[in-house]
Order: sequence, then structure tokens, then C-alpha cells
Amino acid sequence: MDGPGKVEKARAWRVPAPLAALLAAAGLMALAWSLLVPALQAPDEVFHFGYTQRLVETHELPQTVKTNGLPFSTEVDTAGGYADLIALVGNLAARPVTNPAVVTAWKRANAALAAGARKNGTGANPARQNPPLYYVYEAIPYEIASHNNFFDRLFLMRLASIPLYLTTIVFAWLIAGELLGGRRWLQTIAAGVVAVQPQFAFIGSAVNPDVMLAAVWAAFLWMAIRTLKYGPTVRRILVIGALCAASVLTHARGIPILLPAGLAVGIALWRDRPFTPRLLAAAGGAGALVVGVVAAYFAIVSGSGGSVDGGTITASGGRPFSLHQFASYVWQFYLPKLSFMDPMIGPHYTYRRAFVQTFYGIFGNLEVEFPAWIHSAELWFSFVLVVGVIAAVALRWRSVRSQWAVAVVLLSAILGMLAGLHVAAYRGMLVNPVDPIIVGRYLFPLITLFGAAVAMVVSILPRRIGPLVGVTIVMLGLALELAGLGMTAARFYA
Amino acid sequence: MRRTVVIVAVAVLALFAGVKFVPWLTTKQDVLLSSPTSPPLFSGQTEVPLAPEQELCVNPVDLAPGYHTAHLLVSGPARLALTITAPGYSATARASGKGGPVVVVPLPKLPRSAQGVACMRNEGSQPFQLEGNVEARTQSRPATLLDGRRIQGDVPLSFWRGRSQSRAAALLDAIPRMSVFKPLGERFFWLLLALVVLAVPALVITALVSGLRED
Repeated sequence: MDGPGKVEKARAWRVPAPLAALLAAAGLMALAWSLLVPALQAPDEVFHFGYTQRLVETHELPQTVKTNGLPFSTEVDTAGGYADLIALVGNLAARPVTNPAVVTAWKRANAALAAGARKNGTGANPARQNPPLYYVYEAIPYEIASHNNFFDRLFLMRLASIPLYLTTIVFAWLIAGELLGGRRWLQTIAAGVVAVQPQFAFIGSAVNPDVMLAAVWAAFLWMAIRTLKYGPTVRRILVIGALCAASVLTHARGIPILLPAGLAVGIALWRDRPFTPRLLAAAGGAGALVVGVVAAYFAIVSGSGGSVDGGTITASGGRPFSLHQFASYVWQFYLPKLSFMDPMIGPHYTYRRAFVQTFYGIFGNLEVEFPAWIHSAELWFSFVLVVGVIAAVALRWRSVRSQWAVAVVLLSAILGMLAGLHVAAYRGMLVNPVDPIIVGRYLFPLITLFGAAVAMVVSILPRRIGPLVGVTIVMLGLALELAGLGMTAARFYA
Repeated sequence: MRRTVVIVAVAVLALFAGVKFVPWLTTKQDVLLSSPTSPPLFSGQTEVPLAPEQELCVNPVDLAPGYHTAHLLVSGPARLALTITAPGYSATARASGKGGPVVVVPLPKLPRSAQGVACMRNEGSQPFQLEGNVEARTQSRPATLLDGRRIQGDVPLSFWRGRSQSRAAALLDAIPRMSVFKPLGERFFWLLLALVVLAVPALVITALVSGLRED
């Protein structure tokens, strides 16, 4: 490559200053979350750790349930017992053990554990409904710290989630750049909103596959937008195929990616007619990869226990699926019950709890949450955001129409994800009507679009006001995250 | 515009902190420091009757010099003695419950951090009920012994600071405890506190200013 080409390439890879500052801030906050939250106190963390441990220590997937015993090992049980971590989960009346005398006692007990103490977590692990990609990724820090104790290993695994969290922020920046014309201040607002989102930072610094799903979807959305804007290439189509495979292999909630991916590739190829053999071969290869991965997914998780474990599409064993009941459930999730409707299946659990209160911030194992006035403000912010997006689309209709394919694919990503969540939740409640399953972090695959939506709305405001509104939103997000961190610290230590 | 952005950003943060966060941080309350055993989260509450002269022990419990009171959950009037025993140390405190669920027992000063045993003895003439917990998910490591015999379930026992303290002071006091069972020491937590409170807002504001400048 010649000199100017090299310079151009180097410039393209240079991290813009605003993004670098946001990544530094988000990285520090994620480090703080990962250190502050006691071991196993993030959602289902014990099960995600147990999955990885089983994978590394026995080279087996946890879908094979071998005993009626615990889904985590004697090593975890011992550490959890001394530090009182299991009784602490979700229990506001409990505090983690922080007494040096107990640490000494645990060290003695840990040193005396039998050789197989890390290998015997072969009971029914609820996380066995998940495919293994995230856990294979987490196996790397686990293996690196394999000579260290349980707490050090868990901490390193939490740290390993942070690059995925930061990757999502980078793609929020890139997506906003593609959607909003590469305007730096709008990219800063979009990435800033994602970087200070309290719940995302909390999950992004825990051992939880949701952060990988968010990163994969963020990369996919960016690639899909580029494919539609600049045309399909072999590389773009193969990358989309690989990201679909990664999404399906990360979580059942990643399966809806197939809808926007199919649309993105299909529309891009259709617009690029006549078809070239290379592109068709690439599409065929990507399609074959996805079909193979979906088949592998079902092969891995079949018989894993279904959605009684929470949030999958593999539910079985409950009452039969009723379209009428499902439609009524979805209606009442968003809108008031009509007179002729039966009460919705399960508890009265609506978008307010699922997509607002638990989206912006609920910490620990759902026991630390913001006060009612903040929930109320979050709700109003969300309404204004939706109205603002509609207004922005109306005002920029000509521009939106010229990019109709991008709009269709993004809309299909949103609707596909929501439909997937509702089907999974409904099927889950047919088995276990007590658990409504959906929580806000399940929307994290779409969080880059949340950032882009905020930036899009501030972009239609007058030039003197827009940036200040954007700054206010980002700073309020940061204030909420700092408050959330403080509340979480108080819950465990004060 | 850059100056305005900085002013707005700092004002938003200061307003939120001043109006809501500072009052929350300065609210005073007693501080729960340790919960060797806890009440059930959802279900599984039981009652453990304690007849006159009967003794119920929780073994082991963690003990530290900062623990000034113990809280027990009792139904009905009760007169009881709580004996704390650790290697080289034993002390007994007495308290009465008037029928409310929480009986607060002032603890004699504990000399050092240790693992020990806490025993409650009914010193009244009437039996009373201690709250028990048989919920599987909230069972803790300590064993419950009634007159030396192990019984099923936990009897909730917690140790408290024993005086009101602002949340801010309690959180600062807790920094050494935050580093327990963590791979990084207390000093790193102090550094992290400074970074979170000062560097993070500065970085976000820098990003916002820089984003506007580059456009």
C-alpha cells in the first residue's frame, strides 16, 4: 500500500477523542461495578459461573444432567457458604460476610477440598438452556486464573465481560454515524447514552451472556446498515452470517436476529441485481452456516428443561399454545384490558415493569431499584422518546424514504426481538404462570438503537437547544448510574 | 457553546446530587453489619419455641469489634440472655422484648474479629417463640442447636452498628469491608472511589465537549 493509503487507513482506525473519553469513563464504571458487587450477586451469576466451570473442568456441556445435586461445584458451595453468598441472593435482610476471621477459615476449608471439588457441579443448571458460545469465551479467563481461588477467577470472568460491553458502545457510535450522517456530536450523544445506561453497565461487568448478545447484535446492526447503504459484498454477507451464528449460539433470545438478517441480505442482493456468482455463493455459505448453527442450537439445548428455567423458546410440558390467549396477553402487556378479555396469563406484568423500570436500572438480583419518582421520570422520558422518534421520522420523511430498506430492517429487528420475547414469555407461563420472565436487560441487543433514537430526536431540535438537551440526557444517565452504584454499595455494605 | 455545555453538564449533575443524592447520603440510620442467619425471603417462616431455661445456639457466627447490638426476631414478651463465645472470650448480655418482633441486645465490646458462637437463653418464666427460617434458598452455613441438639432451619440473627450513622459515613466506613473476598485491596477501592466520583464525570463532560467541537 502506498503512503497516503496507509495514512488514510490509520486515520480510519484512530479512535475519535469523544469516543475514547466515553470508553474510558465506561471502562472505569464497569470496573467499579465488577469490584463492588459481591460474588454471585448479579442475575443468575452462580449458574453462569457453574456452566463455565463445568465446561472447563469436565469438558462437558451442562445440558447433560448427571445428578440430582447442586448445579454448582463443592468449591462454589464452600466459598458461597463461608461468604454467605447463596442466602444473600436477592435477600435485603442479609449482608455478605466481610470478616477477616471468616476469610481465614474459608482459605483453610478451600485448601482442604478434595481434587474433584471443581468438577462435581453436575446437577440441573438452569443456564443449561443456553447454548455455549459465551461460556466458551468465559472459559478463557477461567482457564487463565485456574490456579487462583474462586473469587479471583470470578472477578477475571467479570472483567472479560467488559470488552463486550465497550464493544457495544463503539458500535452505538458507528451506528449513529451511519444513521445520522456522521455528525460527531450526535454520535457522542448516541454512544454517551449507551455508555451511561446504568443497567447495561451493571450487566456489562458481570458474568452474564446478555452482554455478549448485546455486542453481537450491535455489530450485526452496523453491518446490516452498511450492507444496505453501500451494497452487498462477499465479506459483508459472510460477516452477517457469522454474527447470526454467534447470536444463535449465545442465547435463545438471539434467534430473532434471523429476521432482520434475512431481510438485510435479501433486500441488498435484490437491489444489487443481476446476481453475481460470488455474492450468491457467499449468501449460500452464510445461509448454510446459519442453518447448521440453528440445528446445532436445538441439538444442544433440547431436553434442557425448557422455559421453567426462564426465558427461552424451548418451553415444553405446559398447557397448549392458544393464539387467542397469546394475543390477549400481548394486548394487556401494552394496553388496558378490554371488557371482553380475560385477565392476562400470569401476574399482571406490563411494559412498565419489563421495558421501563427494569430496563434503566435494577441491580443485584432485582432487589435494588430506583425510587418511584425515578421510575415515573423514566416512563415519561420513554414516552417522549417514542413521540420524538415519530416526529423525527415525519420531519425527515424524505431522507427516511430514501433509506427505506435500512428503516425496514431496523424495524424488523425491534419487532422480531419483541415478538421473540413475548412468545418465549407466553410459552414459559404456560408451564410456570408465576414467572413473567421478561426483564429490561433482554432489550440490550437493541440498546444501540436506543442511543441512536435519543440522538435522532435531539437532531431535530433547533441547533442551539439540541446539543444542550443531549448533554442533559447523558448527564442525567450518568447521575442515575452513580446513584445506582451508590445504592448497590449501600444495599450490601451500609 | 463549549462553555455552555460544561455549565449545563455540571449543573445537571450538581442539581441531581444536591436535590436527591445528598439527602439520601446524609440520611441517618443504624447499619446492618453482619447477618449470620437471615429471615426467609418468600416463604418458610416458622417459630421455634424456647421454654424457660432452654438455650438455642447459632454456630458459628462472625464477630467483629464494630458490632454493638444483636437483633433477634421474637414473638411475645421475652426475657433472654445472649452469650457470645469466641476463643479466649465470653460475654453475656440481657434484654427484654415487649412483644414487638425485634429484640435488640446490646453487645459487650468484642475484642477482635473472630468466629464464635451466639447462644440465646430464655431467662423468663414463660416460653416465647423465636422466628425461624426453613426456606431452602436462604439457609446459611451456621448450625442451629437447641439445648445442644441440631434442629432444622435457621434462627435469624444479625449484628448492627448500634447507632445512627449517615449513609455516606457508613459507606466510607465500609470500604475496608468491600475489599474482603475480592482480589484487590482496600487502597484500590479508595483509588476507585476517587476515579468514579471525579474522573468519570470529567471524562463524560470531556467527551461531550469534544464531540461538539469536532462537528
